[in-house]
Amino acid sequence: MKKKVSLGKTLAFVFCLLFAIIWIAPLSQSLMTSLKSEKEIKMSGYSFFPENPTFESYTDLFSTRSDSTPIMKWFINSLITSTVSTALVLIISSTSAFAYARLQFKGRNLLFGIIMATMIFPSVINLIPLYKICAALNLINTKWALILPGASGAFNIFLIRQFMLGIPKELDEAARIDGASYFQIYYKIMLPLCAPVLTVVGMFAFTGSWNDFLWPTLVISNVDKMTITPGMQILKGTYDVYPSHAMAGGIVSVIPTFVLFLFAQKYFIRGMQLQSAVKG
Amino acid sequence: MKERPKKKIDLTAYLFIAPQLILFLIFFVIPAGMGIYAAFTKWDIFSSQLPQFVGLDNFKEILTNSESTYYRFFRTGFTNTLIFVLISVPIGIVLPLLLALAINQKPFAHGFFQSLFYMPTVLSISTVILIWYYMFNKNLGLINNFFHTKVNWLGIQPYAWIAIVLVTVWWTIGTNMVIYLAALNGVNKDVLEAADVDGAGPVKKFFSIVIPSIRNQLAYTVVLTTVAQFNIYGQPLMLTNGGPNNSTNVLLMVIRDLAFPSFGGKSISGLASAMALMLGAVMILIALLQYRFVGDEE
Amino acid sequence: MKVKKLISVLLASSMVLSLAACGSAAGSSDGGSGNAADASQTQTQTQSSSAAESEKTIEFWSVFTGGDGEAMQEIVDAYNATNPEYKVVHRMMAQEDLYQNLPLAVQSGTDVPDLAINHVDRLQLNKENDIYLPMDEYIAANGKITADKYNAAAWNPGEIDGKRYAVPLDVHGYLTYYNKDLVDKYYPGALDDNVITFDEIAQFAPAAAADGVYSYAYTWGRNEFQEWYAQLGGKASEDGTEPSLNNDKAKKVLTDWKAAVDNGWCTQDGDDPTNLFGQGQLVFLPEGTWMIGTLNSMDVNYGATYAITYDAAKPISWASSHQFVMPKKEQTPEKGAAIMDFLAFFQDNSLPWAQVGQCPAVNAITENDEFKAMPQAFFLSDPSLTYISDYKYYGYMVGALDAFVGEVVFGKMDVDEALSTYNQQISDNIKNQ
Repeated sequence: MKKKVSLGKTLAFVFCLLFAIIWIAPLSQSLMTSLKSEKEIKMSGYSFFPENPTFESYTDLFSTRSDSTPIMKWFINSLITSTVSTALVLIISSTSAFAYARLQFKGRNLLFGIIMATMIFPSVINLIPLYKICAALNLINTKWALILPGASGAFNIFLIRQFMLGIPKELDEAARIDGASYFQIYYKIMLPLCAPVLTVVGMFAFTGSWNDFLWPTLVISNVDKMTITPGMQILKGTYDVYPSHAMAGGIVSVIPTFVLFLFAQKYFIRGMQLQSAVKG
Repeated sequence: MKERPKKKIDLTAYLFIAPQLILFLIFFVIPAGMGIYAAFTKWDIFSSQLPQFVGLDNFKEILTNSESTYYRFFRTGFTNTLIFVLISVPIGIVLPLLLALAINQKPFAHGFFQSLFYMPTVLSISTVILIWYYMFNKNLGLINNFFHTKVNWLGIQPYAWIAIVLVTVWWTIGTNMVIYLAALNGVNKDVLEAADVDGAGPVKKFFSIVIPSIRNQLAYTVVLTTVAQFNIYGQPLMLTNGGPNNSTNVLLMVIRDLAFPSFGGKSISGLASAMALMLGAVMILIALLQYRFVGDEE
Repeated sequence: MKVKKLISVLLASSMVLSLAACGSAAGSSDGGSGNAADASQTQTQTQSSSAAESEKTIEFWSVFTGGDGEAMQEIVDAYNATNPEYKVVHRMMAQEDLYQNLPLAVQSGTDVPDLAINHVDRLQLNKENDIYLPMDEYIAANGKITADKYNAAAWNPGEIDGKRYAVPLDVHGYLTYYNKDLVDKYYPGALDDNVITFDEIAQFAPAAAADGVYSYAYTWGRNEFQEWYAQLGGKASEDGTEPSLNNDKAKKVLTDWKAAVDNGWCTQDGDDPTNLFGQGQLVFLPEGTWMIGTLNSMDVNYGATYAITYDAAKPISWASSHQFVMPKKEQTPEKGAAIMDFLAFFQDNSLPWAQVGQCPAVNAITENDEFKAMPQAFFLSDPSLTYISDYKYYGYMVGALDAFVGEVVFGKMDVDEALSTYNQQISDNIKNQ
């Protein structure tokens, strides 16, 4: 019996290790490339490690003419945009998830059904008119054009609602008897209990906003107002590509989402409990 | 007596859903409606002129006018998207499931593996492409140098598709894996142990106990993965730019080029919307079919 | 509890941030061409660009990145150092982004730049799409910007329908860089006339190929195709509108090229020509003048000459020109005058621009000894040897060229089918204008 278990574990380990190599290889190669000089890349054949490791590409990132590639500005823009987005998503998704999970009202199932159905609605149909709407609302070249359109996502509501369905109803019924209002139940009971799912949704919202690529290039034409993910594209030469600089830029630009990921990952398994859909 | 508290709940409930609904209306429902309408018009979104209704002309152009460049665009774009979906969706379901099963065995360093496989999902598409683009370089890439080959990964088929699918799998399977891990956590341990006592092998247990109990999550991931893969855009755009011979020129690239032309000239949004609508119709149809077959009715 | 804290922190910070974002809504939308609704609604802006700041600056968009961008910045800095009333703020972006965003900005009327770089081949169509302001009155008021001071090939296309919409910055083009050591070894005497012909390639390439050395390269298909097609007398369009690429001349260029790839004379699909050149595995590198900076940073003993040619007497090389344009917006005479001052500044201060491989469009530069010593200097000496497209639908044409030239050359698409399909594509694109 015991032997069998360890065989399973060994097989599982080997399987994971095999894929781990595929997962790590490109990441480590990128790191190495960012430490090479452009000249080395252009002049010599392939090598995994840099011949003369240098931080040149990183220092260049922050010393290039700041007017045209204001990396710090992009970074701050991204930080503001993603933080506001995340806060907005957390607030509006959790309030509406609470209503769909706990409150009775006319049209509840229909509304929820419609919102859920939009998950399979291809976003490309909206893309073109969405630009027009943002232009009509004078949102072009503002952060709101990056924040508002994505805030009403169905997936977030779904995740939070499923999680709430898994929380015993007795808790809020008891509070109700004690005279708590629905807002108090939402704020004082549900939100704290939803910590894992809110962390996960928050991370999705933040990384989603941080990594948005296509949309910002359409609605932001002012370089000063660009966010960092599309901004990094500017660093790649027009006629000529600078692999080392590009890699260094890529690495710098993922730091915030990566840190957030490290913090949030322990909540994943608990936060992604779609299971309660069945039980609730 | 019974009516009054209910009304009060109604109002509170609407207050709770209002913020989301308002944004949903402005930034989803209205553009979706406009997008559907636009498919029946001739429209340059950069001009201030209103769309001009042309009935089914756009659909005729892309579906039946075999002389037209846009017919060719739509056909290649649609076929290529479909090819990608057919290859990538099965992998995007089976591989994360296998990884989740393996990690669920709690082997040595399983926490690390879980983080590692999930990690790429927090990267942006441009970073992902940056990381992989040089991996595929014919002379200077790690892959060819490791295997001592001279494969032109991004320039010839089937390698171009292999590259695109590999990158997609690397980038995206983390989400499904975590969903499966969470689901596997919820599989009833007593039932599994009872099966052990009955002498059921791991394969039998997998198909008769595990799969049925994570059925809902499977249904959900199958549908959402399919939808996501139909929306393929960045990977071929930045890896192969649609080549070789347009074989990876997917429909979203076509649509975007028509609506937001970077080569100058006017936006052909009506035709682009018609293509988007056709794609959308197919996606919704397939998603519904899948849900009927894979999921149970909820 | 922890979550509540987290949420309240998030809430608080988001409120602070949104207040900050709204608070600085100084309404500095300088896109005055907008309608009444534009004016009544305030623009949310970041604090970094307050109203006062943006009114006294010239917002300048360029397509220059990398070394070009730095050189342009150097000139801009030099100009700003003269303490002009309006300082120039230089924004570099990838050209696809500029060509996509410029019409968007002009149409929405917000954040329209005061000055932008456009390639000469975009002028006609963008003018027709109403993206530019005519510059005549500003030029007249300034007085320094006159035709005689500029290279005619770069100056003339800026005048459309009797009005001037552009002032040239430079001429840049496609050269053939050669590795001097490899030329001595494999191409003895071939460059004595400073011209390399396809006949010479055919004569010497087999020996080089036997050593695994490529003679020339597929680098940017659209440019190489255009110059060779022009050498054979091919035209983008016979009547200025309908494309005319589907003919025997285009076919000859593509089939010859494909044969060279098949023979191992030309680099293969997926190769990185600059790297091969750097490693001494490539004799002739067709590349842009803009590569000079990069090549100088590499330890290669190189020279530059005209395009590889079908006709030794006419080594026509592809060229283009960067042009200053004023995007359409409500412009004040003061700022217009300031913009002209900036453009006139280039007449005496273009040397940094030449150092990165460009040929400045001002004639005076050709007298400059420092410029004469540069590898690209020969490029301006005979205008009849440069091919600058004047095809109005150039954008559509190069879009099509990008889609098929490489595919045909590397044997992935049939040449006849490619030419007819893509000629049709350009034509259909034009029809939807």
